[in-house]
Formats: sequence, C-alpha cells, structure tokens
Amino acid sequence: MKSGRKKLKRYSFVLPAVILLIVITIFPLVYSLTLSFFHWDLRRPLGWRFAGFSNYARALFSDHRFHRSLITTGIIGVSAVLLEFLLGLGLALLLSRKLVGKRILTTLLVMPVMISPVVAALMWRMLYHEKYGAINAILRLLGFGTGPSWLGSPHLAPFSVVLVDAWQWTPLFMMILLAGLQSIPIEPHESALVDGASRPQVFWHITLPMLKLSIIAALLIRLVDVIKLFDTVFILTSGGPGSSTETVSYYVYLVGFRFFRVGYAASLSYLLLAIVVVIALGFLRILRRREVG
Amino acid sequence: MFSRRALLKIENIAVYVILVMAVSLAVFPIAWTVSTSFKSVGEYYTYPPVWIPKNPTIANYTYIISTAGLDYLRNSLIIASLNLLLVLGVSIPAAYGIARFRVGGENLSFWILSQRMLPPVATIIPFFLLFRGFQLFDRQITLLDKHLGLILVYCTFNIAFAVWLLIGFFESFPAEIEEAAVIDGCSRIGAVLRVVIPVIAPGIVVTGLFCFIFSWNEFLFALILTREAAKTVTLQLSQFRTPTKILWGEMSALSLITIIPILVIVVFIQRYLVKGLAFGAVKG
Repeated sequence: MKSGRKKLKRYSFVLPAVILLIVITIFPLVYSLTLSFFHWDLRRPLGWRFAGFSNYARALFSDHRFHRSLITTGIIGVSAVLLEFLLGLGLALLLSRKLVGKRILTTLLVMPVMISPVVAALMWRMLYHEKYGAINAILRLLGFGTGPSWLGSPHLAPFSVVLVDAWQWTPLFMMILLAGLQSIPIEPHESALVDGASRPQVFWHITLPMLKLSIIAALLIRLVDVIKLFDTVFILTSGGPGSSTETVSYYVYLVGFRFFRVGYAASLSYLLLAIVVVIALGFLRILRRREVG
Repeated sequence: MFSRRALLKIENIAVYVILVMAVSLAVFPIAWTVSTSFKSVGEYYTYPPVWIPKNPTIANYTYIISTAGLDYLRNSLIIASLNLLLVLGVSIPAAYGIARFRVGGENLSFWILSQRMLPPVATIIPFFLLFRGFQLFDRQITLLDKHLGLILVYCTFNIAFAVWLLIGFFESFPAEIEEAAVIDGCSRIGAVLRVVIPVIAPGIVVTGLFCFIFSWNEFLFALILTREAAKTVTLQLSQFRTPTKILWGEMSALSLITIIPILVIVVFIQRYLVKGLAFGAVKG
C-alpha cells in the first residue's frame, strides 16, 4: 500500500510533462493520421471524404514530384552532411593541437551554429546575388570573369543550398569531434609513434576507430535535421529554379498550404515521419550502446 | 634539409593559416551584413558592390526602431520567454523524477527524446487545422496569430531537449547529499529546492538559454501560425521585400539586432554547446 503511494508520488514528477506532450504531439499526430485517410481540400466546401489508402498509393506510386523531392533531399542532405563531416573533422584535428588563442578561434568558428537558419539564408542570399553580391565580386577581383548565377541555375542552386548548410553546420561536427578527440587517451598514439608508425597510420588505425561513436552520433543528428530542411530553401530559392531545390519538407508545405490539399499533405507527412523514425531508431540504439559502454 | 624544429614551425604556421582562413569564412557573411546594414539603398544596389559604406547611415536602424521591427522583436521575446518558463516548469520535475527514481524506465525517457526528432511539417498540418478553432456564440475561439499558440507549439521540441539535458545535470548531483538532507529533517521537496536546485542552477540556466535560442530562431511554425499580431522576428525578416526588390539594408539591420543577443549567449554557454547540440550523445 505504502509503496503504491510512493510510486504514484514519483510518477507525479513526470506527469505534467507527459500530459503536455500528449496534448501537443500525440493528439495532433493522431488527428493527422486520421486525416491522411481522407480527401480534404480547404478551398472546397466538401469537407472530409473518405479516401482509404488512395492518398498513400498516390504518394508511393504516381506522385513523381514527391519522388523527385525525396531524391533532391537525399542529394542535398548527403552532400551537405559529408562536406560538413570532412571539413569538421579537419578543423577538429587542427584545433586538438596545442595552440595559442585556441579559445577565441573556436568561439569565432562556432558562431554560425546558433544563428537562425533564416538569418543565415538571408545573409547568403545577399552574398550570392549575381550582380550586387560579394561572392561574384570576389571572383571578378580574382579574374574569374563575371561569375555564375548561384541561385538562378538549376544545376548550381542545389550546390548553393549545400554551401549554406555547410557554413552553418560544419562547426557542429567540429565541436562534437573535437570533444571526442579530447576524450581519447593519448598513450596509444605515443606508443604507436614510438614503435615507428607514421602519423597517417596512427590517424587511420587508432584515432578514427576511437572517434567512431562520436562520428556516428554526429552524422545521425545531422541526417535527421537535414530531412527537415525547409527554412534555407524557403528563403534562398523557394524550391526553384524549376523544382531543382524542392526538398521533401518544402513539397509537403506546398501541398498543404499552397495547394490546400491537407488530407494528402497529412499522408505525405506520415511517410516523411516513417523515414525519420528509421534514422532516429538507429540513433537511439547508438545512444543506448553508449550508455551501456 | 630542414631541421626537425624548423619543420614543426612551418607546420604550426600552416595550421594557423588554415584556421584563420576558416574563421574568415565563418565570419565573412556576418561582416558583410554589418556593412550592408549601414548602407543606403543607392549603395547596396551598386555595381560593383561597395565593401565598406562610404557614407555610413543609421537610417536602416531608425527605420527598424520606428516602423518595422520592435513589435516583432517583442513578440519573439514574449513567446521565447514564456515558452522557456513553461518548458522549465514541466521539465525540471520530469528530469528529476527520471534521473533519481528512473520513473517510466528507459521507454519514457526515449519517448520524450524522440519528440525532438519529429519533422515540423508532420505536426504543422494538424496544428494549423486545430488552431483555426471554432465558433462559440458570436466569438471565434482560435489560436492562430496568438502568442499562446506558438508558446505551446514550441514545447514540442523544447521539452524533449530540456528534459534530456537536465537529466544529465541531475545525475551529476550525488544522491547521498540529498538523502542526508532528508534524514536531517528536510522534506523531499524541501531537499530538492534547498539543496539540489541551487547546485545545478547553472545547468538550468544553460538549458533555458538553449530553449530560448531554439524558439527565437524558429521559422516554419511562425510562418504558418502567425499573421501580424503575433508575428515573430524571423518571419518579419523573410518579408523585407517590395514587389520589385528586397530591402537589404533594413533586413541586415534587423538581422543583426536579432543575432547579437544570441551571439552574446553563445559566448557564455560555449562550454555546454556540444552537450546541448549533441543531446549528451557525446560527452562534451
């Protein structure tokens, strides 16, 4: 009896948070799951009409624009995350040395991370401007001619989006990997070097394996985020030119809030949710392993 | 050939050169925005572009203060602050319960963490439809374009974040000290309030600052759920355009006003940045 009351008392600590989360996430998600089995066009007075699985069937088998948006997200996301990883690893290795002024360098390097993606995208939109932008002005000064249309060409625009993402998030990789490097014991390196291993060998066979968990964690955090890529695209290109930078989040936004087909948008968002869940489960498994280990 | 010491020196110089280049790349967009914010229309639409304004003007800043900025900064401030209070209010007890008593086991804590990964486009559709509200007699009850709407919606990501980060801080506090206080006649709540909370206060402040930044920077929910009365500063920033051109100077001025408090906070919480952004997945 007493232990029951004690248990109840302990549960009351988490109750407010759990209730709030149920109201603001579980309830809306159940609502939109229901909605995803209906046709509902906000511009028409028809209201909900039962659709069965037809929304999902359409998304999976005949909506090529949706498929293209998934591919675009994949291309932009994977290139951005890889670029960020390589640059971040390089910077982390440099910063893990003994350096004078390391603190101030690190502080300056991490600034982009906390800036709102909207502000970051707006800043870069100025820089990218074909005529008045700073990037093409620098290219002209260096003698590269007039410079390309960074956001106006369907071939270049995805790359320009990747660049902005890399500017903002490379420091995150840098910080995570730097923290990982600093937690690695130094002795194995030293004894390997004494035994005649070259520095690339030490890096490849000792440092990288010890960084593995940090690397995987950082990659997964960013992959989940990149699937949600919206702000940058909205500000920089609005998905264009054509649909060359139309990410899946942006497409769901268009379907729901520009075309007002909210039933279909709900089913698309559930497919997106499924992808995120798969990646997130991988992430959670690694977290658990980390806690055990 | 070079001696070993000379080689080391060359290597050090190379490291600094690379790092300084990286810092320049990180800072350049911000510097360009600073420069643009002091330019007049004529100057930011000049070809070739002007690096440093020849006739610096504060007109963009006075424009922001007098017409198109303060209201939205105030809205963002209200929403981010009240959200932060609500989030800490429910997250501190939750994190304490999970850290100290393992309430709900692993499943509960991972369920809470998973909320953070929800794609906003998945929740924005039901939020929009539900927030439109209903007619009650002659009044429309709605959460669209209301501060309260965004304050609630921003809990979707901030509670998960705050609980997760706070668990770590609570776990770092030795349970024996708390038990000792209880044995000395403190009630459980009294022990937490008088012994535990003061010690982990810095952790709570850091958590709150992170939540504040996340709300302050948010865009998609604000875009869909607000119009004018509750419009946030990020939404206003995206709308600095006339049919023919973008008001770069005005926009730059407001951008800087928006990011300066954030950059100040970053300097203070830099030690915790890794922990905060990597969810404690990486020991920072």
